Amino acid sequence: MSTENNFDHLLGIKGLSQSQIQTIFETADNFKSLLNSPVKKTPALRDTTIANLFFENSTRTRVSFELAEKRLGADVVNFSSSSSSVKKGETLIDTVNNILSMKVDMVVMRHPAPGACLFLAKHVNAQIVNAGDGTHEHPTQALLDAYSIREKFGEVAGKKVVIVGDILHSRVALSNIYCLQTLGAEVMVCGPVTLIPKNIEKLGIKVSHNLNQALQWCDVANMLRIQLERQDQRYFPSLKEYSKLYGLSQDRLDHLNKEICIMHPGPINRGVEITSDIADSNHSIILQQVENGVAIRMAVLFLLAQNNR
Amino acid sequence: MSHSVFIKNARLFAPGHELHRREVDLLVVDGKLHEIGENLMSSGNEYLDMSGYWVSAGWVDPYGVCPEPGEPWKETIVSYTRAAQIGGFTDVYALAGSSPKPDNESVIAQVRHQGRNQRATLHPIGLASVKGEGKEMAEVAEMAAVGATAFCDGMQASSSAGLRQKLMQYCNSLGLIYMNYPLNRSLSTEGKIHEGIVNLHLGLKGISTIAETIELSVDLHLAQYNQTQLRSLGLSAAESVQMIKGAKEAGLAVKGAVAVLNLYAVDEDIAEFDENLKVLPPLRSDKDRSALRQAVLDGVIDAVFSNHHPEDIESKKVEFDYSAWGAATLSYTFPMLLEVFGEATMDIWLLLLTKKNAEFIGAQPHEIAVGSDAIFTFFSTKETTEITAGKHGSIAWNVPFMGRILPGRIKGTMIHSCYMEAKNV
Repeated sequence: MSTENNFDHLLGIKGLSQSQIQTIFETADNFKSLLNSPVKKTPALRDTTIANLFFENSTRTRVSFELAEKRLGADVVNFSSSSSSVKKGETLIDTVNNILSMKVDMVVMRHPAPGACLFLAKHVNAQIVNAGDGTHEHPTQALLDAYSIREKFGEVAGKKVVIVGDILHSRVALSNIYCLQTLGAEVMVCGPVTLIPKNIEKLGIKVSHNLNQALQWCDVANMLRIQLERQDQRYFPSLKEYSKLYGLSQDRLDHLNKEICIMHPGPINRGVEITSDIADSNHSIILQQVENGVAIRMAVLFLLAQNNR
Repeated sequence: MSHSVFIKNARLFAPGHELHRREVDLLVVDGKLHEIGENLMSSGNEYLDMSGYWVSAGWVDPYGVCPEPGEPWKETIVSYTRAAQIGGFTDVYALAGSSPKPDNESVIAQVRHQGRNQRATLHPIGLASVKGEGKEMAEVAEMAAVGATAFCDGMQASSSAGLRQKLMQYCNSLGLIYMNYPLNRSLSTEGKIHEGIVNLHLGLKGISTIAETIELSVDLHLAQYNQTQLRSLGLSAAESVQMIKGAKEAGLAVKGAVAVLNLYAVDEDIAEFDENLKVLPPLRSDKDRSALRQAVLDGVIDAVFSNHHPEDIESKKVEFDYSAWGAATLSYTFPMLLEVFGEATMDIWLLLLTKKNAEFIGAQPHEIAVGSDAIFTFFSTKETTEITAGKHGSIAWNVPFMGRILPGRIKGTMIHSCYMEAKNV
């Protein structure tokens, strides 16, 4: 996204202003109302063709984007490949240009390489939405997370949010840090020291390796999945030990002298980072996050299309 | 019949020479400097007016990578040496050969043969281990017999301390140069750029400075224990500078070299995933760069090298993670150094190109002295050079900072009696 409240691409949260994020939220408010009405659809993007390019496995993000696109009346093309374009012998630019030559207006892309969406934006003539690029950013996830906090508490500013788990391999964590800070929240990351990037405190956040203390500090705990598929080596001895130190259970919550809100970007490894009773409890807004994801993605796509007209 | 060249009105760069920084005339006869002085009354078969240009002893680049033999579409020996000459170098030392690799006498002999009689002389560096894999010693003496004088495994090898010790001892005993780029791979697994704040913003794993200093520390201990020389290639961290300084003060025979991009750029320059700045040693912080610059001026750093590593568009214009390592820098080494250090301190830093680089790689430096081979570089500090791809000799695609205008320009070089303009022909 470029100038104030104008949207060329959505490559990341970094660089977005508070005003731009608020515009997305206000637009999402309208789409959420629509989604809760009997009709659920608008023809706002009926002249727009969107390609969903997923070079990494995804279920919820891909479905959420596809639903958002269809609710907006866009034509949708899906392309999935678990292997990278390079490994298949075709460059990413060629792959995307081939698809664009079929008169596609917008590309939603998930890719295992950090910076792949920016790379694409530099080299192809289309609007790009980042649906997760390696360990870099996942902007729509961060937007829907912050939107869900706003919905729960009325505002994000002043709230204390701890992000727990595999920060080192997480694109959700980085986008969340940028988004929450821009909106005035305080952010802490918590996890095994081996899964916390060095120097991360220089982003202006707190760091803890003690989950009980982190939970006592926060209003919101965002529990991340352990991304075993991104780990090139073992960063902790076992999932059992990880769960014991950093898993969220009813027992931990019982020891707090307050109620906190529980979030998770999914998919959940039940019994590892969070127990089933907590995931399904009243403390959890995990399903609201999923619901809000569609409204947020509708807002992003709508605003991008508006800017292109 | 003898051949002579009369060079008029060149400003002499030769620290220690009585005419240093003075405008001089030089008479070259049969490839050797016959006479040098102010306002010489002479003539030759050829006449060169070098008004406005400096003349120095020919420059030496102690390390780069040439993909030929193997991948000539990325760079040939001809284009490599053309880029070198346009960059002011008369002699370049390079790991030349990607397939087969330069770990045996036949490849070294071929490169040595092809590297002669080019616009600059390419001297082959041999791989220190078989295939550069850091597992078994390569036949360094065999390679030395056909022209390799220095050995290393480049920037991407990972050899154990045990192998490095053997190589240091073995090469030292034979009077050969062994160079090592200190980087602990297990501490930089998956690292793509410097571990600082920029890698966090880009979601990239970092290469920590300690991954360098730990291996440098091992090398220094090995050099001390075995009483061998140490050539440390590619220092990039401020802490490394302190370690080299301390080792020298303790009397160790250690020399350190830094790549020109580590003096010129920092990790923040990669903020938009610029794949042409994905290099080893990684571009580090401003603090590290400042320490390296000061170390050059203080004489702690003994050599600066181009680290020229040509790649084609297919290898580079891809996602940052998949992009090949390396940058094409050979033609821009001098303008980058001039921008970094300026003309006022040229007596210190340009001495690396004219003298200390040669000493680092174990070669005899060229000199401007009557009776010596006439191997000269002519250059301007007033004119400028624009960074472009395809116009400065190299056919490489991966030229960083494209479009920038840098101070300084190479006028030409002379090897014996042959003067060559620095032109892309």
